[in-house]
Amino acid sequence: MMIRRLLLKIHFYGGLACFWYLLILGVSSLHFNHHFSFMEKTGDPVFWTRKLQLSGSNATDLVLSETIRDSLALIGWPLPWETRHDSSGAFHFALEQPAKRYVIDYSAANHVVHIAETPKGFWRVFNSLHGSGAVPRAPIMHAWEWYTRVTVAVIVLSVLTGIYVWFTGNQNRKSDLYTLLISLTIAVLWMLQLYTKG
Amino acid sequence: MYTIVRKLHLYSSFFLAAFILMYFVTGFIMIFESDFKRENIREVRISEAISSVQMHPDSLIHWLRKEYHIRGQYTVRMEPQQAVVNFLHPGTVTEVKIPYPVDSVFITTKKGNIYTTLHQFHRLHGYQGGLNYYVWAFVYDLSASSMIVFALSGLYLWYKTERNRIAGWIVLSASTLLTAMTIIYLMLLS
Repeated sequence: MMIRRLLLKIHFYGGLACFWYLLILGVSSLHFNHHFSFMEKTGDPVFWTRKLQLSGSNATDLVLSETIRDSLALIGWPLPWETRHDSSGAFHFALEQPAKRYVIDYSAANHVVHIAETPKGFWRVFNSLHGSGAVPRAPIMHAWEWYTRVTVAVIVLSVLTGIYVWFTGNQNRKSDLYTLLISLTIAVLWMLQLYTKG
Repeated sequence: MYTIVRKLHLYSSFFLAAFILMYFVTGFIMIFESDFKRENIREVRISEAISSVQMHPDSLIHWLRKEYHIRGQYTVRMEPQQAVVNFLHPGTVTEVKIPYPVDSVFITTKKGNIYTTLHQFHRLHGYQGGLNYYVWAFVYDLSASSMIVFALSGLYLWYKTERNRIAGWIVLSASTLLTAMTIIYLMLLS
């Protein structure tokens, strides 16, 4: 009885702790399967300019991108496949983070950097939190990274505690047990069939 | 109302337990990707001369499935120099290239290790590829919807079951604060 109460409390509080993450998982997964157009809207780009003098030489394009990003106090990942030098010597790269996309043009000759910043909209940010880990230069995302790990552990525990709590409290266990076992068996056999035969 | 919500919460988990556990276990493996490295364990290449094949995407897929028994979901790219078809089912990726003029076919089949397979199960989605995949996509939608059902029904059940709700409100407030602060930070302060 004590164990059952304890597991029920764990189930309750674990669920409450993961409440928002569960909503994010559900909504983002539905979007992944259906690509709702209203969730893919982005805002209009905003253009801004900064004077930027970089000291020293930068060994690689990645290092140069990260140096420019850090100098501008931006967060996110430089994209290697959208990085290039043009014939005038200007350096172009794209920078992605969950809420914004930046296209950055740096002219070493003029010490000027031009930034086109495109916001991604609430739903894209909401959906990007599904499984999201650390974002370069964004300390708060370390907390979200840990929240992701905790949610995974809590949900697995919640499925098991929930089943235990039901079976120890329910008189009519046989039909529920058969339901669970049959659905588990069908699911596992189906996954095996997809794996072996496609 | 309480009984209905409780049964909804319970039976959603009963019917979808295997999928929910699969998504969270595979999600765990994806989060700790550096510890669970994906790699191909086998690669098979076939190159053959072919006489004629219709280069319409639907005909091409049908012919590849019949001739080479390739299975899975597919994407077709008609490039200027060649047609490229990629098939995927969890654990196996097959790439087919048919260069122009159409007189040969090059097929590369890669078998992934267990972590690759689990990764592909997690990402398997979309209503295409045959009945097997339509049903999978439907169950995927049910699993996704169940996350929303669990959250909302669970909130209701906690509220109706617990007399002393202070601890629960504290926990819920903490998760709300973290989520709100993360979204606000990303949208406004980053």
